[in-house]
Amino acid sequence: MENFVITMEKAALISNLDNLSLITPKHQRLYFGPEFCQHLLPSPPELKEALNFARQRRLSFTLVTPFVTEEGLKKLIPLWEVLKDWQKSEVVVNDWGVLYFLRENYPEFFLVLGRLLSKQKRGPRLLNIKDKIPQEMWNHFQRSYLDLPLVRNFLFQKGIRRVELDNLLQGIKGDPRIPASLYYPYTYVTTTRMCLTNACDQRTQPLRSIFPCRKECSIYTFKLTHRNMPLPLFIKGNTQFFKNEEIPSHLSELGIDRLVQEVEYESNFHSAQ
Amino acid sequence: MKILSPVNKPREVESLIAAGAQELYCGVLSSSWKKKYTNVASPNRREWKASNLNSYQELKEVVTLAHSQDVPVILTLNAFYTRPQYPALEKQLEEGLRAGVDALIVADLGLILFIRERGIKIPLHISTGGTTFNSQTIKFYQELGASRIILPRHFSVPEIVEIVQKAKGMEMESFILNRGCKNIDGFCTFQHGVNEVRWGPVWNIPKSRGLDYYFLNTLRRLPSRISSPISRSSLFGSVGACFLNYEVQAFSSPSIKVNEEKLRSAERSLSSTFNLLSGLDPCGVCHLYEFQKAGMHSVKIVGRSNPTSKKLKDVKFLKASLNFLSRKPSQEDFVIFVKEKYREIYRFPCGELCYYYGKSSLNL
Repeated sequence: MENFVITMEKAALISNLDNLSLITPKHQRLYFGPEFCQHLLPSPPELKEALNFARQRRLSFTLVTPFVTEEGLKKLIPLWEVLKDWQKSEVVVNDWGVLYFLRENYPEFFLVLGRLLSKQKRGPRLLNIKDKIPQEMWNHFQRSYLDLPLVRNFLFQKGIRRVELDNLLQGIKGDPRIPASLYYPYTYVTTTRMCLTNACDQRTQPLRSIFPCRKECSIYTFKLTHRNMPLPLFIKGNTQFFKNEEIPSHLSELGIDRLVQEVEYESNFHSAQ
Repeated sequence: MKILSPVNKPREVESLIAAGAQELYCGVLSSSWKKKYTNVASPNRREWKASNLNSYQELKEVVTLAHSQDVPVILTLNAFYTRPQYPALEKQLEEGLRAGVDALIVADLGLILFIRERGIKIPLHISTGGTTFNSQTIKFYQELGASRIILPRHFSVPEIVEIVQKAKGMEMESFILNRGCKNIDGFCTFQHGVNEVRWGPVWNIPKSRGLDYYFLNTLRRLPSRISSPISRSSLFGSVGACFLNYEVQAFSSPSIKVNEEKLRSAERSLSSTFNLLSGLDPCGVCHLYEFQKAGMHSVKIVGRSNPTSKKLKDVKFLKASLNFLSRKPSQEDFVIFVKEKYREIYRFPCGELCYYYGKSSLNL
């Protein structure tokens, strides 16, 4: 297993330029951008700065994009214009509309299916019923729709050349015929636009709302524990994660040839461990 | 704008249609599927036996009753499936088509492609699980042959109006009552129905009798000083992951430190969102005014497992509101009417637990 890890490409994921310092010489690729929130999309100058950083360090570059509303689609357009001038840039898409738009307008981009669209089954409470469920169900929860040839072929036709995977507690089964990246050590479980972090330091917060963003996520992180949740959950911004540090030993059988280290989350959640 | 009502038993079909339902939707959790995958991996995103019809025979009965009054029935097959499930899924699909359903609610790209490859001619409605947040996603699904998009819950009213107005040649549908999940349905991977596996009939019997609904509906009417501690009581701590009464710890980022008082305040605020009443039965009926003008095709009542009496109240409330809307009132008069009708039908004030926020600023 160690050999696989050593020969693998290692990437570092950040969404904030302030965290470029978290990139180390062991990283060969920079993943830059937010997966879960359009409010955190970089401005064109910020994207240029990240690209320059990658070029100076001889890092490959991947722009990460979230799911977006109409407003988010508009915010992305200047970023595409910056990115198109850079050779061999990848884009992680977490929105079918972004995929459609890029195929229509920027077919030169190398597209990657983000983990919001890989449809793995991540909820940790599956462990609570492990002894009460049939084997077929356990197998089902290790897979996603990506193991269907129909889906793989369709995605390939749409320009998808790689898929992004999370490290499931129940293990992963999959098809190695499409290159994959594995994110570690945090697995996302759920996300929202009714951001729990938004207005969290104001006691008047109502239960359901989509408020204007004040970027409280740059200040607060949360740890949730409960006896019926097999392991702690971590909240960063609008998204919940759990930690799984055990990297599978059969990465090559899964087509995984890249590890994406969530260095920013590691830094954010450090005090919450 | 059509009223789309849930149904989970044949005997409620006629009364729902009589009350004003113009479309019905339902799911089937058959014993053969449940044996292999349990309720937790339900084929239709409702992971409780009580939310579903028990067999395709029951589906046939629902379809026959509904069609006798020219009301279409839409079958939910909107989970995310994996390759080993396809033989069982194909059987579900065939049984549904044989029962005569009029459309399918789907979310899974694989199933959409499978249906297309097999040349099955049936309208496809893209579930909220399809996460259609923008007009480009509508085009994506349009190319795949979808005829209707069901919008996610996580929109403001102006955003809904904008996307509906941009959806050319596509029917648009929006949630309007009940179950205001705080997480995005198509991106949330928490399992539901875990307790049904753990506790079996002990959990299932009260759920099938709608006791959870009656309990929560009573709880929400109590003063908050009474309801709040109960809604976060550990007695009910084994429910869905969104409602667990977590112990919450807040931390400040390495670069921006905040004082202890602010951290504790943030902890209290976040803790308060994890309770049994979180997102319970919100209402978006005031916004039918904007939805209708924008061109919304259907509005959906959520809550397949709700008691028939609750479903009937929901349908009657919507029917009365749409009738009033047809008289072309001002927006202000419409909202006043809706709030009065809510109090009359449910016998308590709406409490302004709104499904959607913000008034449309577009020219309607």
